[in-house]
Amino acid sequence: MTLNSKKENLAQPQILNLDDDFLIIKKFNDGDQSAFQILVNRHKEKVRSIVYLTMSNSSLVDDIAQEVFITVYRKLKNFRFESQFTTWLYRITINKCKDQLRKKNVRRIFMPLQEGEEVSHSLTSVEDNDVSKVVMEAVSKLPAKLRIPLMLKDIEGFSYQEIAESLECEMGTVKSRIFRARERLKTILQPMEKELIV
Amino acid sequence: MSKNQKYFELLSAYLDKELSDEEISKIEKLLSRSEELRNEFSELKRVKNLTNKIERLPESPYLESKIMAELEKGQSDYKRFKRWTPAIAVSAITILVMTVLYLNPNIISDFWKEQKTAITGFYKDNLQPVLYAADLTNDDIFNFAFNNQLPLNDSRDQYLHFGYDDEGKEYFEIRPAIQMVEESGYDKFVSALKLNDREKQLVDSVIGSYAEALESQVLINDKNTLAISPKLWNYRKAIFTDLLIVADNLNKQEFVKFVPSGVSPDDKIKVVNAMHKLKSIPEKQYIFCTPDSVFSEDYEFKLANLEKEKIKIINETEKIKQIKININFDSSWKKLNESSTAQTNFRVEVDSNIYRVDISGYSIPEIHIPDFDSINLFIEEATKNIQLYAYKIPKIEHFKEGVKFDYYDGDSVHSFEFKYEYFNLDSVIETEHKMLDSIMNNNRSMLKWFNDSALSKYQFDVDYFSKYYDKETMKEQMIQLKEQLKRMRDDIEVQKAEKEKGRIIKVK
Repeated sequence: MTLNSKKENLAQPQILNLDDDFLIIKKFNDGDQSAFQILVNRHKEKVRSIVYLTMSNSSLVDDIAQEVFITVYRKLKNFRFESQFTTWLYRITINKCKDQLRKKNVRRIFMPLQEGEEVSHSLTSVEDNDVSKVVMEAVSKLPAKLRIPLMLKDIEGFSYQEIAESLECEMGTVKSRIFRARERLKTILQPMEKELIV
Repeated sequence: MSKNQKYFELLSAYLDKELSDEEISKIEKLLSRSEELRNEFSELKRVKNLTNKIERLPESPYLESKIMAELEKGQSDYKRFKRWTPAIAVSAITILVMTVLYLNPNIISDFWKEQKTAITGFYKDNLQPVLYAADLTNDDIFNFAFNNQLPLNDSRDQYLHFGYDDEGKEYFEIRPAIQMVEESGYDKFVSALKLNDREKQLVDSVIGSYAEALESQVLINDKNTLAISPKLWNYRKAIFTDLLIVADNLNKQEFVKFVPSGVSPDDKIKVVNAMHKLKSIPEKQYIFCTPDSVFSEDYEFKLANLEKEKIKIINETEKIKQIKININFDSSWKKLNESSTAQTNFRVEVDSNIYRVDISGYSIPEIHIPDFDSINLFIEEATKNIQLYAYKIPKIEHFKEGVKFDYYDGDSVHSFEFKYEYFNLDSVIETEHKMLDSIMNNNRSMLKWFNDSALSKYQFDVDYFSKYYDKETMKEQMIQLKEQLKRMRDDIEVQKAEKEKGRIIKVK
């Protein structure tokens, strides 16, 4: 399959293939700059989605996704074809998100609450929002180490093995964190139980 | 079947279709037998259904062109810069050197002087344990494991406090004694387990076995340098788990009151093995806190030579004991807030009370224990239980329509009344406000309740009480509580009457 015919296919939804990614990367490494655009096009929505679910915030999604692809562009020459490209890409994505969360935390430490300012601990009522928003708000209250594996599993449909590779941890850890995330979420959503009956 | 975390975790993986055939048949068999497991399974399923409802982000049509434009821009800037780099660099360096030398002819000698004082060796010189094994009491070691605190000097007026932030990242703080847990947790632990002298000696020996190892974890010198081994966090888990295991062996019946179910013998073996491994790993790296900077570097503290060194050091010990990491005095430590530590793996925050180092960028060397994360969950839960156990036991009263708790918090008592029929969050808040109305003369703006925290506190305590009380104890507590309530009602009536009387006098 030539690169041009690939370009034509891009508008169509397609199943990502290990060999296709490798082929594109090889072309890029051989000096074909347009191959990188194809790579971005194939993976940008997945990267955006992971950023959104990891950060629980849509305002920074495109900025972080852009940073991810710029890092990929700079490091692609070092890619060793030993693992799937997506595993490598998602690891970079999650690490970028973690950096961002860390910066946010440091900012929080150095910016004390103003007088009269309150931290809201209550969930918005379901009447004002749809279920998706309420659940997302509850998910955002989970610590990142529980939130990220849960979202990768339940929304992105990653296997435990894929999550472990992306987060660079053991499978047992993933299993335990997903369970803990669900338990914690159950408690957070409890006040809204009646409204959220599914 | 009792609540079992391990099975619940398996259920969650079963829901995700992540179990082997063998595990599937095991869990399905268990599910068919246990209503509790079935309930948990449907709860987990319900939560998964809810998370599945989270909407995906709408597509971004512009991201691709934005990224490509950014890359293009970066490349053209780089190419343009690259062409002129040699000329720009030579001119810039020449101008800079001439200007600097013109303004400050001594700069080179000053620079070397500064470097000389800043070298890390200066701060690593003559580091010694902040507290020798003989100075560490069992209470200190127990509080280290259960309350995350270690004394920083013999007079115990400063402590090292360490833990994990919301993101699970480690940090440590130097705090004055006033902010630390004062009560002797170890005594409570011993009395809670109803240990006799022989059994207490056994627990003492377990605790004591860590004293030597802890000696080399926190070091200090006369340059006001504090060196902390990152292994401290692992030691804390190790001592904690060792104590839980010993408690389980000595008094299973009392032990279950504050230790969560689900700590399986397998977990214990893994942890016990890990303890030996941990003790045998030499300390290779320390985090150095100095008045100038915070940095991590290799440093070998020779534990084996410590005995010989002790003889030499003994004359200096008194001097060392007087050294304090004084966080109140020193403007140079405060400078760390803005200093170059921002470029390292450490973030420092200093105020008049606390010196905090956030080590989120630094990886604590982990000892390899399979599934330690799941054991950690039990440790967290047990810590919570132990902390509650250390407080006064609340009073509880069951009546036909509901249940009432009286919590003791310092000198105050907080009462909660829950009606089964109407139980919801509103009733918690309403009850609280009613009580405040009568006692605090309608001044409710002083206190606020956060809905979710109130609810989870209630749920946690219900589990705890059902574990703690047998029927007889409950009956006794109820009788006492009834009497107390009657007295309280009478007191309030008297207070009301006195207030009323006061008002009348004022009007007159």
